[in-house]
Amino acid sequence: MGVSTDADFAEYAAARWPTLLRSAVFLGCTPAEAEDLAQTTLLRCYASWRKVARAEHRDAYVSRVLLNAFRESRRRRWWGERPAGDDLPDVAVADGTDLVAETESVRRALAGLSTAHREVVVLRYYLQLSERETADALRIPPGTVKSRHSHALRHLAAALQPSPEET
Amino acid sequence: MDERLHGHENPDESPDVLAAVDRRLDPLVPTGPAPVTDLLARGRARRTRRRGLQAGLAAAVAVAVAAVGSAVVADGRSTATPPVATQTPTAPDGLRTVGLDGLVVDVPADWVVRSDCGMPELDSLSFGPPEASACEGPGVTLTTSVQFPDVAYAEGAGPEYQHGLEVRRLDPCDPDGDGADACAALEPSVTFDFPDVNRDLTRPGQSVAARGPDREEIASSARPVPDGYTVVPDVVGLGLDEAKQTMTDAGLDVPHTEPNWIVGTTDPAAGSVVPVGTFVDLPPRQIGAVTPVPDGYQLVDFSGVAVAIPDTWTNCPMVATLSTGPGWGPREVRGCDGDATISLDFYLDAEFEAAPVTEQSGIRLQVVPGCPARWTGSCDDATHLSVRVVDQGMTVRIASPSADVRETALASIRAAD
Repeated sequence: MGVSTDADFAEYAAARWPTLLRSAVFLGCTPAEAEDLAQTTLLRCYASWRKVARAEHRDAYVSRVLLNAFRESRRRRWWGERPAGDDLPDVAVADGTDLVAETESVRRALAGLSTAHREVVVLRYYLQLSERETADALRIPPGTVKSRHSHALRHLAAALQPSPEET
Repeated sequence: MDERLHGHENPDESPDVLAAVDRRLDPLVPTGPAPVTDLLARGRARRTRRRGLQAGLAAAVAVAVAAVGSAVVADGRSTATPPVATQTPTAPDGLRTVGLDGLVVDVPADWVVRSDCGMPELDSLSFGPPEASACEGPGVTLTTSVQFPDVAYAEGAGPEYQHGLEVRRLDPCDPDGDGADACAALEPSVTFDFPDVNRDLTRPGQSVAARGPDREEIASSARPVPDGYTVVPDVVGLGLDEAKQTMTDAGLDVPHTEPNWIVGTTDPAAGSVVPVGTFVDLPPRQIGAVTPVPDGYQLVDFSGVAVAIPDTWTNCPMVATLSTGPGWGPREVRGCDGDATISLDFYLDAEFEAAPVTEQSGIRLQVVPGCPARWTGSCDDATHLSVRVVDQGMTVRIASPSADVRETALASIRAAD
């Protein structure tokens, strides 16, 4: 792989790193798992960088790699053996009350959303694929993309509403 | 919170909700720059493994390798006459040695490359009996993987080694778990991972997944590429320039050919283990030598396969065929539940196993007339057919009362750009 290709990859990796991490967290990864998933995704892309660079929509290709890596990681046996406590990240904050409450609310909101719905949101929102590209990447009809996306939005909107006792 | 959100293309779809979610995710998302230097180092290490292995792991190879007199190697190139491609490392009678990028295994001598059984985004090669058209039954898949579990060894026990390489066995059947007997009876694939095939990698590496009655024997024959040998990469379908570069990177010699063609086959085939410097022929296949699309039809494509549908048809959701890809039908018919549908599917039905293979527009097809077994709607055998596109691993479902539509669609199937 030539120097210019490496530079191209490096530029892409640096630019997309935050988005890949955020996508992974949205999918349900802990911070450490998110870093692993983002690295795995980029390494796989590097291995086929000429193919990735040639792709009509590079982000669409990379998103497929990300989802495949994510699904593989969830299929592996050792996922099932982790105590639930591992999923709770240690979040250091100065005055944590409000922030922890907000974070907890979003965690609860995401926990009520299926992986299929999260995947649609990640592709549409974080990776900014079109409905058609999302449908292709997930191998589902565009209508299903639309319905999952709107269901996810409704669910998240409802879940983030403050409860009566909080208001 | 950054420019991603401002660039969102669907402001009508309640981005405020997602922006609120995104903001609250901030404490959970790791910060810091991308480890680009590390990624490049690990990526390059994988790329150069095939050459680095021959020098770096020669001392660790426990198998005796017959010296090949004509292959005098200097700087990765042969200084003698091109070695004969049939000279392969020692393999027991009835077996031959095949490999992928640094690792080789012994398989039955008649096994061939199965081009559609690997994982598209990984470097992988599958081998199986020539009569098997699907990826079921006996076979072996070599995969370069970058994700690997951390293994904790029991106290007093260390890693196991095979042919000088640390090996980690991933068995899908937990011997102490429920249903272990039933799981073993299914003969699922057993996977051997080799974490130190490339010592530069903190996350290895290389794995062999074997299935069938000889799976243990095949998997346990996995070993590094012998010194002085290399593995023919899979370049079928690549442009000639890229294929030649890939071959040269692997230490192989290639012919002078014209650009703008793609590689049809290679001789010797992908996965063959040959002396460094071996001449590999790349018979090209011209791009574009395909049936023209007639007036009144348009080409649609998905996942590497294109097919012609009537101009008046439009995309529709798949229901009746449970297709895993997109479908198209007449505009006036709601959905794809009507009798006229063309769809693309990842599912490969068992009925293709016995179907003859034909070639068209530079790709290989298997045509099975009649209703697919998985069709759940009304169906007439006379108006349906399924076409497996062998190299792309896709199925095209064609249903139409019009013989013209069926014949045009079938004749138009081609590899997509």
